[in-house]
Amino acid sequence: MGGGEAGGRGGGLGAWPGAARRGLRRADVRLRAALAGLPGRMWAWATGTGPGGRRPTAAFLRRRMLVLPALALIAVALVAAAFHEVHASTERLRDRSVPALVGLAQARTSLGLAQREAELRLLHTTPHGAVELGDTYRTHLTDATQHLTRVAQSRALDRGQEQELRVVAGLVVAYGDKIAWADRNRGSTLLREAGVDYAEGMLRSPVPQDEERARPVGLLDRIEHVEARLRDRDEETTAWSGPVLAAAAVAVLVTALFAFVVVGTCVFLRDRLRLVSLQLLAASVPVLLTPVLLGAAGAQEHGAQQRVRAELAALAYVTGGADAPRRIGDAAAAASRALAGSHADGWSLTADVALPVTVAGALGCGLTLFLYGRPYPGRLPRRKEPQP
Amino acid sequence: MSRRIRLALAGVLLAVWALATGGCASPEDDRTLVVLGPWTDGEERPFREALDSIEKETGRSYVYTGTRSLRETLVAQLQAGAPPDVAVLSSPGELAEYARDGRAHPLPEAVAGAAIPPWAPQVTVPGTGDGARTRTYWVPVRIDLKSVVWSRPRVADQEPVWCLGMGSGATSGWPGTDWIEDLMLQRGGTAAYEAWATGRTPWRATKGVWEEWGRLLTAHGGAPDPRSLTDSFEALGGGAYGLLNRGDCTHEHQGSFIRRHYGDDVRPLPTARYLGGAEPAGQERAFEVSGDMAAVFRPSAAAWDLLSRLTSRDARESWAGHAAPGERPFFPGGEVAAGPPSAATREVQTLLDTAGRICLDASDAMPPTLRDAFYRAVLEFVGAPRDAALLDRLLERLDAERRLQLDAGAFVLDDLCDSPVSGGQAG
Repeated sequence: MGGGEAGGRGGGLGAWPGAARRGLRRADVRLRAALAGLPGRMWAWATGTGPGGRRPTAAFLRRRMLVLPALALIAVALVAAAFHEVHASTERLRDRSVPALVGLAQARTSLGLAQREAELRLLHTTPHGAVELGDTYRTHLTDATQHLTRVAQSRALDRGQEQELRVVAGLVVAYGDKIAWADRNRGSTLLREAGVDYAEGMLRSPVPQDEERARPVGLLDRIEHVEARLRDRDEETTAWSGPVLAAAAVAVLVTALFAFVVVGTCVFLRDRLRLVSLQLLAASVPVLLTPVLLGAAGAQEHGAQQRVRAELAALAYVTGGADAPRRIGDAAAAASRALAGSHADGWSLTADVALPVTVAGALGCGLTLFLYGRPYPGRLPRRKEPQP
Repeated sequence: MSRRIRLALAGVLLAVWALATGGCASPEDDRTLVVLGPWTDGEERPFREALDSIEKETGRSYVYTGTRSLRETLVAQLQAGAPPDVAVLSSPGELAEYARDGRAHPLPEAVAGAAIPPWAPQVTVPGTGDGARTRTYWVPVRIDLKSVVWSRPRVADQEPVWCLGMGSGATSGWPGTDWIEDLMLQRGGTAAYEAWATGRTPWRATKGVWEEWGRLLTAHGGAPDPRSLTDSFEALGGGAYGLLNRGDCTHEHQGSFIRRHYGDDVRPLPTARYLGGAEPAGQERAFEVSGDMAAVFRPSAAAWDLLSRLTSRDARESWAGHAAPGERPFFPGGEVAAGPPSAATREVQTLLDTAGRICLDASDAMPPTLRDAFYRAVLEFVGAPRDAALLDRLLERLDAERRLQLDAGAFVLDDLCDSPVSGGQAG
């Protein structure tokens, strides 16, 4: 029996692919037919002419009075959200990341220059004999402290990074103490060299035992660690994110649908009410223009962000040398130029004007259709039952 | 329009509005507590793991930052008005200064039970209205045994060739102060040690132990290698650690934390065993101890909760459990269950449990200005250990600083020695 069943199933299975193919073919035909008919049905829906014949004027206008503002508001909200994300990244780069990364690079190189100056004056005998520590060293150390203070105030750091920077500031004080101790003991080669050695050891930490998991300990290592974390975060925040791309894509579709429905409504008004609605067209213009404007703004700002990131990445390679301040200054200026070229403030102002106008346009569409529909009663009044 | 379509439309509008207005700044930073501490260079890893386990229980996040320049960092943070929530310091003298300045906050009753002597003595601070108030301000979260010498068993009984490395960044010199303190404890006994460390004895009374240390440093002829002044107390360079691994010395005078750089072939013995002559403290079985004490600098319920948890059995087990057997931390009040320790860890615990008296590290208990002067004096002494005139100058300078600190009322702590609280596992 089992064998028979198996045989029966086998026969069924043998026939199944053919049935499946036929089913698929039928579904494909139906889908093609549906798709072929879709534009026509959509147009009929947009113009209020089908499929059940002409729609009542009042009912059609009442629906459009809600559908058009709703589509417009959805489109504007999505495009505003996408633009806000991109613009917020630009502002963050301009107001926080760029000053912080430039300040950290300046602090790092100032400390390197201070150490070089201290070594020159405390360890090496100049052709003119022993010299004092001098102002250049103190200037570099003061520069480093001031840059670190500015970075701490830049609001670019989270609490952990801010704490790391405060440790760095403490280490700079301790570093200065060690150099000062070496300077006080300049009469003893042993102590002078030891003081410079302690200070140098505080700048760079030795290779840790567990290199992969250990946190940086040296002063410059800690600064570089904070710089790297900031660059990582910039990379993350300036990349096209999934939600932004999805919001922009849906906004484009909804705006296109809005345009299509507006055209259909205009056709309805012309056919049914014999009027060309300039008010409706005028109210639709900001709804159609704003996504284009803000899309262009977002693209321009995003391009500028990538250029700024490239400039900031170059700061990591400025590790010292007398020309370090100039190279950092050049990179900062290039980043500022890229940001200025994005016209972020202009676009922000444009958005501030365009978004309320667009919302007004959306409401204007609804109001216009409400006014057109007002003379047409929605339902006939109920006939009064005769009194017995 | 049907009711369903209208509802759907309203839902879509709400969702879009939420999308448009969402993504603003989160209050995550407000739930982050900052902990500043002394452990770096991998030593902080088990502590971070313990913090992570606390994080899972409380839902708050904890950021730990470690540095050896604790004083400079904390002072800078206090001056900027941005202190860490909790700071772990190894210097009770420094903590007492913060308590007197009102920067560190007194322990609430719920936490005060974890303030174990001698690591957490009471501190009397001048009051504003009702006179002076005596309170406890910090709790020991980890302790270490000093007064021990590390060596490999085959050379343990030989004439020592001492390893010496004074380098430790901002606090360079402390390995030398440990020597002076230990000699002072072993030679003078706990009473003399306590009197000196709390500012009641002039520094010239320590001249004998300085001279004895000088003899140890020059035992094999000549001055100590100039490199010993700059060599790190632990790092050898190139990723290698532990002075005994250098190969040119046989004995290392160092605290129990150093065992993390060695295997079980390096064992601890009490310093007293290497000191000939009279040993008053030998009869007392006195050991120097250090501690890492946590205090709250930004009071909040979350900060006190963290302090309480850091001294709890769970946190200690987590901390010990995440540490390798050779770096297992010691806690005041006894051991915690965390798997078998290394042989060296077990021996240190035995020394700690059987100690007659334990005394806080003297330099850690001194006012910070005197402590730092002590560090610097040691460095100068190592540079010329046979220069008697230099030693006199150094002791005079230190004594002048002591008198200045006495006048300023900066010696706050007076009980540095106590009987060890141990016996089995800590609760």
